[in-house]
Amino acid sequence: MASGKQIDRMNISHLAASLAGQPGRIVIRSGLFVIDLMTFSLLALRDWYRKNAIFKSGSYASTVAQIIFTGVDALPTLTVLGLATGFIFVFRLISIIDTLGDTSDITELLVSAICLGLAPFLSAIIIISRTGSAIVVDLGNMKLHGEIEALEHLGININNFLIAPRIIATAISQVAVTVYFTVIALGFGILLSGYLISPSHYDLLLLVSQAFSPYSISLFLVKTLIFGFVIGTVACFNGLRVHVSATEVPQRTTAAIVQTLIIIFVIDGLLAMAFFS
Amino acid sequence: MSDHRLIQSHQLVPAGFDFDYRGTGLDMTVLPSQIHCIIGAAYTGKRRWLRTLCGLDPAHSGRLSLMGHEVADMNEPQWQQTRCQIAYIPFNFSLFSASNVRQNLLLAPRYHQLAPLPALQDRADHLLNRLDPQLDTGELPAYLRKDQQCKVAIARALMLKPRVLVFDNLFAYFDPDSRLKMENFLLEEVEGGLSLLLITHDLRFAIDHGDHFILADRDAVHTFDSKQAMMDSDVAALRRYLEITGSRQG
Repeated sequence: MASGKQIDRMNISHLAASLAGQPGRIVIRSGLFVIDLMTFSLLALRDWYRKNAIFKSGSYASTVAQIIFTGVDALPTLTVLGLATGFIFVFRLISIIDTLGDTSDITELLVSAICLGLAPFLSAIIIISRTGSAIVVDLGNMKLHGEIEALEHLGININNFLIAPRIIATAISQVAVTVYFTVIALGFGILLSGYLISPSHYDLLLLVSQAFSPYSISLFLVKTLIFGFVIGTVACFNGLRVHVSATEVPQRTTAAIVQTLIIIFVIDGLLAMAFFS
Repeated sequence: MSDHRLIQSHQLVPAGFDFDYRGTGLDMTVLPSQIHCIIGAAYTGKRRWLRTLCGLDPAHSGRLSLMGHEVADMNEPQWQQTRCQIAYIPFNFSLFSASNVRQNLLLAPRYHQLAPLPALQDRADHLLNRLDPQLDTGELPAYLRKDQQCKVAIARALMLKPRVLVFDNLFAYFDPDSRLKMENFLLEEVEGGLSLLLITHDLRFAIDHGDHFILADRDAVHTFDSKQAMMDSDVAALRRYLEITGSRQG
């Protein structure tokens, strides 16, 4: 029979083993989640590709509606946040660098920090909070109320009618939204610095546009497309994981937002390491 | 002949009953313009039989062919085509909440590109006009009464020009007057070649119009090829069911 000390030692060793195993379990769970997500998106895109569904009237309407919601309807919010970013980041950055470096430093910093770093990230956060959450709620409620099942009963493949259009539309919109956001933020920040600091800063408008190389434009497009793709995929994935209870809708929405943010942080870091090293 | 067999099952037993089913499998064939009624007491797995017979739930054993294709061997295009030709409306059916009545009807045929849009719109208007001329086609489903929603669900299924309409006790949503109208509408469709496979607790409809009867019981499934065969049968479960339901429905 084990003494009290032996039992304590067993409990401690069990606790230590459990704690040591926790990181491993998290890694395995995360890996499986990423595999699930990739399989989900690949199946959706495969069905879409096979059926050429984007040009089918139902899927086409769904894609266009999603682009309008994600891109066009978000313009007022994007404009306000773009102006704020222009003032908070671009204007201040220019005013700080102005005292420390020359014009080429400013343009390089604006392209790498604002255009390739901050703008895609901030616009992704806007799309996550606005479109990502809306997709989860929309699909979650459709699932909850049996509308997804009704679509299947009518012979409609939900991958090419609901999922692929949302993923593709979110990716396209993310690129457009980021371009718009970048133009507003840079334009407003430069104009403000030209007006408040020195009129010579107006030249930055031309210099920054000339500083974009094909490499940086490709990086910008790849990054924003991946962000949009991830936002759409994670939202659809979580929306379809709602089963029977209405309480699952907000739970899946929160999960989708957190998961997307984490994935985007990781992708942003990996891309930064890959392209800037 | 085989292309006239819309649904054919051989020793079919559904999987996933809530109880331990040890009875025999179901042999049945649905031909054009026939009405097959599934009857039985509560908790006898009628819905499971219905869903399995139209290929939506898996079978435990036996064979099922829909529109001449074995369900087990169907590829995706055949499956989608089958879903258009065998329209299923569950008891707790759902309309698309973000689409109005007309959009609900047009969505699936537009997806399947069955006809140009003006032709589909004409068909939708014609169907709705026959089902309920007073129905506002621009209204969202949330603003409709349940019986009106049911009419829209039936019209939506018929937009795909199915050969079999499968539904689960939808008459329960109607008052006597609108139920009679709905019965007449469906009987007109049956005269035009549509077959019905339905669960019903309305014995009057089943006896007056049914061609074939399937009695679901927890121990066995019984089929009757005519009203007379059913009425003459001495299956205890059927006698019990007819007694209870008959006395309740007068």
